[in-house]
Amino acid sequence: MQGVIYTILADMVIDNYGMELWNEVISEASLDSGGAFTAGVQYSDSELIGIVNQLSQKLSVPVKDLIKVYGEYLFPQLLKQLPLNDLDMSSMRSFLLQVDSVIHKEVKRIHPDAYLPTFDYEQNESDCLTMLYRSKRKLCALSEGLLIGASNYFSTPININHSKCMHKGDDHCRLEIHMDVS
Amino acid sequence: MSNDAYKIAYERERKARLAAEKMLDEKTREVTNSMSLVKAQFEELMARNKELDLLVTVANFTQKQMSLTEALKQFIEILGEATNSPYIVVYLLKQPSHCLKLIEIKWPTDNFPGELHNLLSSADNLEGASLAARVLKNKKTVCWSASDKNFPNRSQLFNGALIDGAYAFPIMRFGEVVAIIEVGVKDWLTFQASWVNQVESVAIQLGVALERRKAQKNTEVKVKELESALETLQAAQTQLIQSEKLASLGELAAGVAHEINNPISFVLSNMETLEEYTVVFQQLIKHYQKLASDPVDSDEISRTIQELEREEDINFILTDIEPMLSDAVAGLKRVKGIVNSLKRFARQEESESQPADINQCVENALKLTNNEIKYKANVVKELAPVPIIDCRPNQLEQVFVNIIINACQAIDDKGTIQITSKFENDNIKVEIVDNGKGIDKDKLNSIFDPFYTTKPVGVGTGLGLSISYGIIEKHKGRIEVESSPGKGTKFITYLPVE
Repeated sequence: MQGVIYTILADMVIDNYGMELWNEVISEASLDSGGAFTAGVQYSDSELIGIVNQLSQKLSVPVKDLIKVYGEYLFPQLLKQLPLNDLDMSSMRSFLLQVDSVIHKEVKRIHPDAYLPTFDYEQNESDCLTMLYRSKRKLCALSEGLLIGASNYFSTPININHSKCMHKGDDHCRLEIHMDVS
Repeated sequence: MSNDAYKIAYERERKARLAAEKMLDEKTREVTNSMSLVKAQFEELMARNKELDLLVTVANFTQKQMSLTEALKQFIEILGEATNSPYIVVYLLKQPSHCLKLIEIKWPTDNFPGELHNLLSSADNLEGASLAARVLKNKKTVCWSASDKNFPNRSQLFNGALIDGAYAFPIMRFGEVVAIIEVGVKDWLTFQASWVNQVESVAIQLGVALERRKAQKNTEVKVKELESALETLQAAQTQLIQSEKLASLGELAAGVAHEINNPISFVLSNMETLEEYTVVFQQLIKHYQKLASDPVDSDEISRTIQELEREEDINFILTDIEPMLSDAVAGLKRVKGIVNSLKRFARQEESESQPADINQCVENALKLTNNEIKYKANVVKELAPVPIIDCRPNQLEQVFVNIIINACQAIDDKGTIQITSKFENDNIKVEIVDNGKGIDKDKLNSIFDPFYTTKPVGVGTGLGLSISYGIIEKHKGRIEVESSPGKGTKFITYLPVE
């Protein structure tokens, strides 16, 4: 997992719950990196799982919800790192349609070692977009959080129907996004 | 330090870290962009390199006189490496049957799939609506995709498993397809479309090379034809020179007969006189023998001898006999000389050139034409010694005979022919000048043309000067003419001394 995911997570925890909690989480998760994360470096996925599990226990929040909240926090931070000039930012839908073919392609170009999820799209009606998520990490909750973050950014209220899920034995997660474009 | 102070310090550090991260990110992006550019340029270079390799094959085809089959083999070898194609096959158009024949297959492994081979070499594939047949018909590159329903046999066979499609390129010569290269496409997603243009342009080059080779072959055939025509022409020319020579001989014959007749007449007359003298000597010798053997009647015999000697004027006979004999010898020598000149002149052309003295050629020509000249002109000779040169003296004699006869014919009554020779500027220069009627300016340009003559029908062939011109040219020399109507004509021949 990219280092930037860890540094932003650290910022979120410290900002919202204080340095003490973060220090505790890091020490109790007993990470190989010792918690000294740097953007641009790849860290083992298990470190993220360790941190999130610790946080979940300490805050008494289910892992899934915690990841979702993090996704929401993560979206504007990640957006800062994208070359927005090359993207169509006119609507949430057009942005989402570029995730797989443009944004991930660019990330892959800059960080050839990065592992990224894939998205397939189904477009039914103008206010609905279905994204089919596939990843060995099964972080569909992070996707949901990022979608909420995007919804905030574009001021487009959304409603996500997570009808198929890899955690339920499906080979992909089906995220039906209903957008209130009015 | 208070907690607040740590917090302030932490925030400051975080800001610094974020700024550093941002910078790192930008730099990474920059480096990646440059890398992408370098990679793209490298790939383009590699592609260019392959294209060059292909062009080199075409160049080799021309320069090393490689066979078409060999060139195509190399060609697809390079093409295979460059395009990463699953297979490449080459068809040649066989003439005169106008049938396509599969001649070369390239497959990355040893085992070319049997069913693919069967399909590509089957008669069905080479006729009708097949890929190759379509290229043959349209004379254009044809692209086939596995999903294309126009080629059911193929689609069934491949069904996307072996290949995604194929391209077939024509190689054209003078607007006709002579060969077809079919290149399999493994995957349309990774296929570089730029290759199509490159292969097409190289295929055109190969076609041009083929056209050039064909043209070269045609030229070679033409050169051979021309060479044989030249040989025929040279043989005809030799024949012509000989004929013209015989014609001048005919012209000279009467004069030469007269030339021979003269000495023969006086030799004959001398011989008759000598015969008479012999009778006198025989009688006298008989009397002298009697005188020696009969001393008794010696007075009588001596008187008879004296009477006979007086009667026959023996003193005159004794003084006359010697010049008469030497005259006869001289006359016969002259005849012999004339006959020799004639013989040499009439002989077929010498096969090889030989060292000769040009002055001698002039002398011989004068000997042959003596009878033409003697009643018409005085000959003034100024022959300075000239170097011996390699030449065909017999032919040069012919030239001088021609010019001298022309000079004589130009003189109406009685004139002068001046002949000079000298060695000048590495050339032997022979001038033959007459003071005859001259040649009009408008005719001067035509005198060396074949069949041009101003003489009455039957007098000249119109070939004399044209052939003379040819002979001098063959000796790498030149012949010039100057003439003033009413004053005379000057022919100058230059023969180089090497």
